[in-house]
Amino acid sequence: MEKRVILAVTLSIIVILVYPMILAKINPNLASPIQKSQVVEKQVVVENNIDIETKEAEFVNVLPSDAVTKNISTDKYDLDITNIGGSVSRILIKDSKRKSGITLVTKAVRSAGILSIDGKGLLSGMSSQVFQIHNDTQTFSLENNELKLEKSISFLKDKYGLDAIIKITNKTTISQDLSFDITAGSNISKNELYETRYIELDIHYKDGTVKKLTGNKLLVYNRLYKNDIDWIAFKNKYYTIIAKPGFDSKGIFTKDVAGEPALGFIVEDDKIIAGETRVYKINFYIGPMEIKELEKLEFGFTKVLNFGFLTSISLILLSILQFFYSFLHNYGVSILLLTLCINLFLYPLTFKSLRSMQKLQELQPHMEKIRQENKDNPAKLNKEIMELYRRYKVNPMGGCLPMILQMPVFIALYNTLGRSVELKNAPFLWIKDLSMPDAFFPLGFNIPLLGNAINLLPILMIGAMILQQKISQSATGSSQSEQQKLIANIMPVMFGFIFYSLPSGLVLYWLTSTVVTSSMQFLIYRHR
Amino acid sequence: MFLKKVLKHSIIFYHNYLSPLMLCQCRFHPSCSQYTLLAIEDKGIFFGLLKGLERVMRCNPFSAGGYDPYK
Repeated sequence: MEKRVILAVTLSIIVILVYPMILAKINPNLASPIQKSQVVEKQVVVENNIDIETKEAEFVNVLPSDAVTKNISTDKYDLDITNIGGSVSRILIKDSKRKSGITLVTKAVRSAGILSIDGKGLLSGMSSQVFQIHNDTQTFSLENNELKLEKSISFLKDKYGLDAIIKITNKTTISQDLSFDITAGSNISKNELYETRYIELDIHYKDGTVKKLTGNKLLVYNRLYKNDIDWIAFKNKYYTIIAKPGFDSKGIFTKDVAGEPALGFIVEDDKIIAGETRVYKINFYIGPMEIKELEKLEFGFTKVLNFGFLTSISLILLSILQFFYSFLHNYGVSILLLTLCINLFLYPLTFKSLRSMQKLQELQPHMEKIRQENKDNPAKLNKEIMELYRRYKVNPMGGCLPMILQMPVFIALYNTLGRSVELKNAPFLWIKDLSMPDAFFPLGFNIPLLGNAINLLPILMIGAMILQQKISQSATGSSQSEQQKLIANIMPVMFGFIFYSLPSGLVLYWLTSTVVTSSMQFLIYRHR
Repeated sequence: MFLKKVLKHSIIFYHNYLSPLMLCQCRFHPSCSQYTLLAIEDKGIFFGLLKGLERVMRCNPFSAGGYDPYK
């Protein structure tokens, strides 16, 4: 019997050890963040862009020396507009809640620049033409014998939003076909470790379907022809560029520009008669994936939030946390209150099982008798004991339902803590960031499995679980078998291991939950 | 048939190695996993699992628990 437990422990440890290795195998990007920057430095990338006629020294990642950039600074953004191609080449988001600023888009030039246009006929080679930047407004324009192309951006007040308007005037004497690509997102930052796996393009269609592109699928030249696009979101872990076209886009393109994905809308065969001006409008949301900020734009952009397969539960938890946060201004305290709420909700179940555990003591004499009678037949002994429980309507085991009920909440909370920008860098007591291990005492070196810091919360949690066991053991009397005792002793340590590198907010949840249950236990037993 | 085998072995694996590590213990005899094994053997994968699920749902502090053989 003991062998089984030892085997189980060994297996679990093997799983914990091997899992990161498998993870590194599956996604090699994660393992070597240094390599990534080398790719960025690569200057020329071969392009297999057949559709678009322009093929000059187009995908060089540096601007010529005569390039002019204009810097615009608002209360939410600090961005650069480049005259070559007339596009937005750098976007810094001012995010006062977390950091002073995060550069979401860097060095996006030529066709990777946001709002850059590349097309056929009239619009060929536009991404490397020189635009005139008008100093007083956020407008940049280009005019030649055949057309006038004007792009302007306007910022929304107190929102992470901006509207872009592109005007194309046909100056020729014949009607023309307008076919072009507008870049809506590129070079999104991935500063944090492991962030590459969160880079994603979501295409939301008007019929409610969503198409998601990740990883290498974003880095191939691809034209997805499907119209009725509602909006697209290009995102990393915490920030996003959402673009909602105000025109009928025929599809979405993705391509690789100097090792970084660039993507945008396809416009095809729009007839423009001589002298006509066409207007293309795009509503942008460029900012953190924060519910409150996304809601401000009223386009249903909150659908960009994705916390895995339990997103709906995660969103409920997040809104409860935000509710507490709105008057307590600390997410650590909010997690404590959330834990209390969940425990209150499960109180009837817990109370019931604690009560029956206590009643069990009264049955001890009967138990002894049965045990003596069935000494040599363990199967019958088990059956008899269960019968006894049934007769006296007592059962020390809680059964699995409370556990199963808590499981989705636990997983959803894990996803919420790990993924929501609201909880990023949220401090509590000595914890700097509730979405990371608490790192109470940093070490200068790495311990395998445990990382480079001593985390206090998991250790406290082990203590609390041992305490809980002591309380319940004293209540039921030592009716446990040797095996059960062994399990009971190993359990907290196992949990400590599993929880050690999880977000400290999650450990805080489990710790509080354990403390609450054992206090309830203590109170109920005292009042017998 | 193959699926059934895989399923049965994963339940046996759970019973032997994972369940001792869980925080909850079954209120019944035989336990939910053994009950499900019997049910799958008897009624096939779909209905067997359904019956097992029903048993797990019953396995909560509001039920009496105790001796509850299959059938």
